[in-house]
Order: sequence, then structure tokens, then C-alpha cells
Amino acid sequence: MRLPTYDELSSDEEQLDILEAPLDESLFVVGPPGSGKTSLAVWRGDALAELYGTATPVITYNRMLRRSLYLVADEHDIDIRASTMQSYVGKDYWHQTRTMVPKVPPHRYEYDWNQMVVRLAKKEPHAEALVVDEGQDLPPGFFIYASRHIAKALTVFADEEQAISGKRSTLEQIKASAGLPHPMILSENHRNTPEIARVAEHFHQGQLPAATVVRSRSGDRPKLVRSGSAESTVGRIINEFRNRSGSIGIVVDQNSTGRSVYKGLVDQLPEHRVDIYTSDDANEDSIDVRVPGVTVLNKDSVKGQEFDTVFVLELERFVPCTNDAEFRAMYMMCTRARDRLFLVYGRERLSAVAEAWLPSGDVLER
Amino acid sequence: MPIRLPQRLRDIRTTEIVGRVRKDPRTCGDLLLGVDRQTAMNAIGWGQAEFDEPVGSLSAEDRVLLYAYWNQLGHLEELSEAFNQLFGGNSPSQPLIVVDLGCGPFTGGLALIGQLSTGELFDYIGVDRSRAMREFGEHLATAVDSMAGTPRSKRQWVADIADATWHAPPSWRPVVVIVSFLLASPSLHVGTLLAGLEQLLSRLTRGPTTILYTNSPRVAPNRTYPAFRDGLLDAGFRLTADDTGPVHTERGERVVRYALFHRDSQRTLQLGGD
Repeated sequence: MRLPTYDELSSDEEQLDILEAPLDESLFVVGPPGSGKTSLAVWRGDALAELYGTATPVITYNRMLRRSLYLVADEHDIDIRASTMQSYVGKDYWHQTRTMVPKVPPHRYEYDWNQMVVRLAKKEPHAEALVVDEGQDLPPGFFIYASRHIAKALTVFADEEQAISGKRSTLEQIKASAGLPHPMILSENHRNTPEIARVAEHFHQGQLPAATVVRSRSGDRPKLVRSGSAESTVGRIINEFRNRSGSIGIVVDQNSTGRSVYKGLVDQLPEHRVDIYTSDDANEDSIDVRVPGVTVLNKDSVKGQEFDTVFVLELERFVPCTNDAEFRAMYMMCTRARDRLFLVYGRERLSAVAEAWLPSGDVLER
Repeated sequence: MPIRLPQRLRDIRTTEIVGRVRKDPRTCGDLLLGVDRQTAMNAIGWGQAEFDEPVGSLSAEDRVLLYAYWNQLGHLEELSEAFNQLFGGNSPSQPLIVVDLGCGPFTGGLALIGQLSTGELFDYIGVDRSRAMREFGEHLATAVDSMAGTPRSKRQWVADIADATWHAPPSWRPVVVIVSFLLASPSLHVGTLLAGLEQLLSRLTRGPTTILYTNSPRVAPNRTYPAFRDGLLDAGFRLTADDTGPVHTERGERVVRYALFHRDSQRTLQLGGD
């Protein structure tokens, strides 16, 4: 009897399949947190730049994500043009029509995609390629516009399970709007410990199974923590930082809570990096989340980031999840943590319903 | 090197099969459970009998025990050799799900336990139409559980593949399907078997699936193999081994017909539309 070994049978090099996909064709990739989508978006951008001799535009949802793309590209010395969708399309439309983007009244920021596409009906795509990261949070109208009037070939990375935007697209909408092939699947989570992934899976829904966790068990179970005041929360974060250093992400629901925690941290960690980002401050370019220190973000801006340790504050405002969007938000927030995760609730005790609804004690330590 | 069963499997066989037969009050010299070898072989029909009915003085349980005594060891050696070559001390990174079609008394599960690392956990779905076979399989599996330092299995036993219960959503876990001597059964319908298997697999996993086929080297027991093979190829499996060859054991050489099929993890998500 002569059989191949199991290792020979299962050559599941899924990232390689994506890196080697034809560059002159559209590509659609879905993958869970920690599957390397952002890095692959940057590498695809690099390969396209080499093919066409011009820096590839890489579009994403918000400014912190744009910053992440920049940092990944910078780390590998890759030249891409990272932009938010809002900014890139605003400039593109101006460039093509010499008029401002029409908006859907009364919204200041909501583009009128129908009007834009009608206006540009006779215009062909002007670029060879466009790469989109976090595509699930962009509206279907963008994908129609991008495929008809920006680029001949689109590469879109998405994870429907992490969509947080109210203007999000389903995978079916992305595929249909942009004329993409069926998505290739990334199935491995290289970021979270198995213990953290188990907590996140409690909130997982969707068309694909929860990701395969590649990392080994750490023995460090995520913890549910009560913290009666902003001072005690700050004290706990400082203890964590002093004991373990590394990068710590603090996720809040309300920016006012974030500012209060930020102030306490700055006062007590004057010699270390402490940052807070809100979209009003637009200070993302001064933040490098890779440098050891603490970063305070809200649930929208933490999307796409990763830290050694994550504290999700104001848990009582996030659970129990009552709709799909709330499940997705919890799933996304928990999966930001590489090694340690704390779910923190505040002055009020968690309701019995919320307590019972969270993962059991063998998964989430009480 | 001849395959040598791990000591824990030899111990189980000694206490739970050979010991039970030898200590039975009906056993005397060459008469095991009160019958000679030819009678025993007729009663177990070379492994292809309906085991749940008594035959002469032998109950259904007696017949299963005699099957385990006379026939199981060879199959255990063949499957141990196969799993040794497949996993070779290097198990998949995630816990296996094992579907053993025509499982007999936990033969595939025992062979796998002998080759996996200590402490590993796998799910085991044993499918066999014989109640007595399933019950003796669970008896052997429980005996293994009581031994320190053995891999653990979470088991279910069903008469029909359609009866398997699986409440967890599909995962990316690897599945191994064992089809050992099942196609020798004259009543087996390959199309029905493959349809049932595909339906079960779709409930278990989106991950890789490996199917191990073994059988007698004789032509007749393999007569439905071409349909089985072609059905799997149509379902996206690739054939990675397909031969007849020896398995070297301490008791000598056994020739076995074998094949190995493999299907990778799902690589694309089929959305609505084209």
C-alpha cells in the first residue's frame, strides 16, 4: 500500500492563489478578520503598479483604514495611492466633469450615484485597475460607478460579517453592481488566539463557516470585567500596559467616554504614546498603532485595526445584540485583539438578560 | 517495516475480544462460543451478513464477537497502515471529523486512534445497518476511553447515513471518510450511497475531505468501484492513489485493493447570478 501523506494532499495555500490571480481581470475576495485582506490588497496594488507603471489607487471605507493601508504599504516599501472612497470619488468625479459630486438632499455626504452614472453615461473607465478594501461598507452605487467609469478591472476585498455602515453592500450586491466573478474564499484567521476567536464566534453569523484559527492556544481566556468608574477603567488599562507593554486598543461607543479615558491615560502615561482618534479630529496621520502605546477609538474607527490587547468599554451599550448590525459590530470589535481581550461594563450592572446572553464562563472568564 | 498495532489496541483486543471469546463457557478447544471455525465463518458470512438475527446457537452479539475475533484484526491492520502513511505522526491542524461507512465494531476509529497523537479529539460518525455491530463498536470505544493517554472520540452511531445528526454549522474542519469493504456488499447501491454522503458532507464542512477506500483484491467485491470512483470524480474529488498492493503485518502479508480520494476546501463562494 502506498498513499500520499495528508500534508501532500492538502496544499491549502489560499493567499498564494489570490496573489497569483490574473492581474488584468477583476477579482473578488471574501475573508474573515485576520485573514490578511489588507496586506493582500496592498500586495495586489503593488503588482498592478508594476504591470501598468503607475501607483494603484486603493480605496477603503474610512480614514483610519486609509491610514492602515498606508502603514502596511510603508512597512513593505510599496507605493500605493490609499484613499477613502468619499475622497477618491469626489476628486474623480470633479476630474471627469469639472463639477462637484451631486448629493442626495438633505444629506451632506451621501452621493447621488444614479445622477453621477447618468451624467457619465458615455465615459469609459479611465484607469486599468482599482483595488477596494473593506468593500462591504461601501454602497452598491459606488461599485456601479467604479466598474463603469473608473477602472477596467476591480479587485474587491470584503467581509460581510464585519459590515458596520448603514450604506453597506451585501456580497451579492457587490458582485452584481461591479460585475465581479464569484468571490474566492480566505478561510484562515492568523490574528486571534483560539480563545479570543471563540468569544468572537459567539457573535458570528453569515454564509461561511467561522474562520480556522491558525495560532496556538495561549491559555489566556478573554475576561468580562466590571469597572465602576472611569478612574478604575484607566487604572486597569495602565496596569495592563505596564505589565505587558505592546499596543493596546480601547474601543468605546460614545466619544465622550473615549475622551474621558484618554485624558486619564495621558495624565498617567506622560512618557508613552497615547492617542485618540475621532473623525472630527481627522488626526489619523499622526497615529501609528503599531508603536507600543494606547489608542482610543470608537466602534466605527476601530474597524480594520489590530492590537495586542483590546478593551471593549461600555459593553452594556453593545449587548445583548438585538439585530444583525449589532452582532456584526461585536464580532468585528472582538476580533481586533491579537492576544488579550477584555469586555468591560460600567457603573450599572449588566442586565440578567445581557449576562446570560454572553458566552459562558468557560469561554469568557467572569 | 511491517505495521505493528500500538500496544493500547492490542490490549483492547486481548481483553475485549480474544479474552471474552476464550472465557465464554461455551468455548472449548477449537470450538469458539461452541462452534467450529467453518460454522463461525458461515455465521458471519465473511463480514457481509445480516448480523442482527441469531444463527443456530449464536445470537446476534455472538456473531459480532466472532466477526471481531476472526475478521477485524486484518482490517484494523490495513487501516492502521493507511492512517500511518496518511498522517505519519503529523495530524491535520484541526480536529478531524470521521465518517465510517459500514463501520463494523469501530474498526476505522480504532485504527485512527492508534495513529493520532495522545489527547487529540475527533468526531466519529459510525454508520452500520447492524444494531449489534454498532453496540459492540460503542463497547470497544468506551473501553479505549478508559485507557489513559489515548486520543478521544465524540461518537454517534446510526443505521443509515441520513440519520446522522449534526447541529453545529458547517466548519472548515477536515473530514475523513472510511469506505472499508463496504462495496463488497451485494445490496449496496452506489448512487444512493454517494448522494447520502454528499448531503452529510454539506452539513459538516466546507473544508477538505479525504475518502479512503479499501477492499478485497478479488474482482467481484470491487464490481461497483468504477461507479463509486466516477461519482466521486464528478463531485470534484481527485484520485490520489488507486492500486492493489500488500500490507505487511507481523502475521505476514495481506494484499488489499485501495484508493484515496481528496477534495480541497471550498475555494469560491457561489453567490446568486452567474
